[in-house]
Amino acid sequence: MAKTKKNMDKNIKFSLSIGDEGAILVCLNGMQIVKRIFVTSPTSTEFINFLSAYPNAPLYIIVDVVEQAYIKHTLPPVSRLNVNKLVSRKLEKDFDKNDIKAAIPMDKEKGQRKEWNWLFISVRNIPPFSDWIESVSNLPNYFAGIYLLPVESMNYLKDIEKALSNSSKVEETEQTAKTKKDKKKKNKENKENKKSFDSRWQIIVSHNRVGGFRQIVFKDGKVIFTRMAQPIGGQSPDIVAGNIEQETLNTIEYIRRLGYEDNEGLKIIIIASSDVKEALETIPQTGVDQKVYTPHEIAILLGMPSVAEESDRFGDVVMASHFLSTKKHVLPLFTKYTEKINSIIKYRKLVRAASVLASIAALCFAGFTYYQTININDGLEKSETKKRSTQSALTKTKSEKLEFDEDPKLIKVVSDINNKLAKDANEPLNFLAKIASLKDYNTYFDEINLQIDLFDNKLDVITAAFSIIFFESDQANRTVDTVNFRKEMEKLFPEEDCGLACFQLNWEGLLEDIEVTIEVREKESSYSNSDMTRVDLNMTGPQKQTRRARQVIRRR
Amino acid sequence: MRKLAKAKKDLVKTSTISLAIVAVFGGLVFGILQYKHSKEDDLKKIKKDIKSIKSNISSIKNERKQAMLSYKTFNSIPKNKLPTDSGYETSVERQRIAKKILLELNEKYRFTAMDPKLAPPELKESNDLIEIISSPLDINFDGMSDELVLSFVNDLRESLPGYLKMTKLNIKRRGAIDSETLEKIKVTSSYLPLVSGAATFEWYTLKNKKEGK
Repeated sequence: MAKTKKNMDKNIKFSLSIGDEGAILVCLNGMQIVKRIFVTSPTSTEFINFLSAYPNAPLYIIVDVVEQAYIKHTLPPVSRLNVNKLVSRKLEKDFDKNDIKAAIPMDKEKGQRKEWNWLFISVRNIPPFSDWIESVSNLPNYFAGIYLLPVESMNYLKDIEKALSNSSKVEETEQTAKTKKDKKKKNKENKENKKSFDSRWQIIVSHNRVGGFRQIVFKDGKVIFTRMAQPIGGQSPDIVAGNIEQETLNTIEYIRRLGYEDNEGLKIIIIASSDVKEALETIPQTGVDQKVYTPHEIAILLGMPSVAEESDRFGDVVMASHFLSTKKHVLPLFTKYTEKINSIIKYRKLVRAASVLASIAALCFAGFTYYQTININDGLEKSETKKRSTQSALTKTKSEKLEFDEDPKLIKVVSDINNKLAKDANEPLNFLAKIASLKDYNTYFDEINLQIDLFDNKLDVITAAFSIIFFESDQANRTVDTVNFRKEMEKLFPEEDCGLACFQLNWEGLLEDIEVTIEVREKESSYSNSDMTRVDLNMTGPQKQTRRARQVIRRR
Repeated sequence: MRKLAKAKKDLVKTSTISLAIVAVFGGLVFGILQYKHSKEDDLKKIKKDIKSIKSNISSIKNERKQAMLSYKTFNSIPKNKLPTDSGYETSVERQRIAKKILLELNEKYRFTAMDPKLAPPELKESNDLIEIISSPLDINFDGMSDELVLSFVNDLRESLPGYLKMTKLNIKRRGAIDSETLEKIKVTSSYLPLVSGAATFEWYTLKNKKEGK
């Protein structure tokens, strides 16, 4: 039950309509009115107690006092940012510092100058209004702002027009089966309605308990002027109706000064008690569409039938209830004190929201991190298993014996020495033997010089150089076949893509870095009975600075 | 003013509570993060250990592979090249074995002249297991042909214990093998010195290092 009550309390809102004659406290729960109290003093016990019963419900102040000023100002055509600064400066300059003031933009002149039209609004913060504000400011309820009845009535007018439009559509549907004549009549009425909805000027006249006859003038749906009048001559319906008629006529005359012309259309909505409604006569003015509703009728029209009874005489409660049911308000105002309190409350809400968000974020992050940690733990277990198996593999590998009994260290040392000292590929003598294999039976080595340097006595062959002179005896009139010899040499040193004179030496191990020069000399006489062709072959290397050795064969 | 004071008090209270809640959750997050980091470190350590063990296994296997290769090489080495206990470390021993082999080869290749000189041995290299002893060997010779000389050098490398590395070889033809020379050899049944030369070698022998030496 407590929870239900709390939930119900969540929807409870208060409005306090303050006028010169007193104030009306309206308590609304959703679209249902809970209570309405008329009080004449801010110290009223009933009023304070009732508000204190719902400390969490917000309290909206609706101002319906006489001391309100609405002044239209035309400002120079500056930028949007600058016009705001201009408005702030003008508000400070034109009004008293204690006044509650604001300005709302109206429109922009459509002429060449494109000046700004702003409506400057101020409320004198003086008793009895200031007494009410001071009193309610210190109540535990959230102070939701001060709202000016004429300004907030823009929404009121909009919703009434919308409701009227909808109801006329419903009526139209109901009438579809009726006669042609009726249809014609209805169409005529609709046309008139439409014409009135299209009026650029509207006046709401509401007979209010806290003030009197509140008249609000709108142009194109925006408030431009408001008046307040007190009933004169008594409270009888005829007198009140007369007062309303007279005040409305006065207002029409006044708005002519603001630019109203008969052909622009004027819609007047009057909210008064049922007996006053009966006594009211239609205003004899061209282009005027006058409609009179009781507070109960208006409440029904707005879909809030519970907020007003048929016997209700005043429009305050309906206006206040409509205001509370509206989500968006036009112009919230605050005194310095209430602004300060509200900013502290906003900070508090902000802190609370930030902490909730931070906590949620922290919880999500903690959850995500914990989830990751669980995965890591899984990985850890798998890795530990893997480590154990790898460790046992190591133990097994270590325990495996070599296939031989000899000392592996000695075997390695001896093998390494053997590789160094018995490496045939590095042996220039082998190369000499290869060259020797090219000789035929009448070709001999004439001279062999071979020099091998053992690097720093460390057993490594670093350089090798030798020269061979080929000698040919030609007793059988045979000349040395140098062409064939060259071909044979090419077999030993495979040709690379750099032409016949250049060969990549790729012959057994270290010799690949040895540069070879072969020179076939002219025939010359040596021994008494023979000719010879001398072939010089020089080898040097390994050439550490060149990766490829070159072979050049020149014929002279 | 009472409401303002209360609002301020409420703000302080809410801020304190919010801060406390945030601190609690912050602490929770910090704790979980620390726990996660410690687990991550553990995982990294285990992975590092596994890598190290694997590397160890690979290293051992590689060593065994190398050992097997060495063993293959070792098995292919002729017995007279393997280290011996004496290592032919004395001049007398080296002279004796060299003289014996050179005489045998001279008989085989019929050099008309041969003049070997063997210098005293010296220690070239040493490690825990082996000592390498070397001595230079110079041979001057006169022979029938260069083929015989080259063949002699090959035979000498095979026959001498240890390893023979040639550092110098000079062969000079002193006459052509023509019909006249062949006729002369046939008539006199003697070997003519058609080539003469000199060869220089470095003779290495290996000695097993004795324990405690």
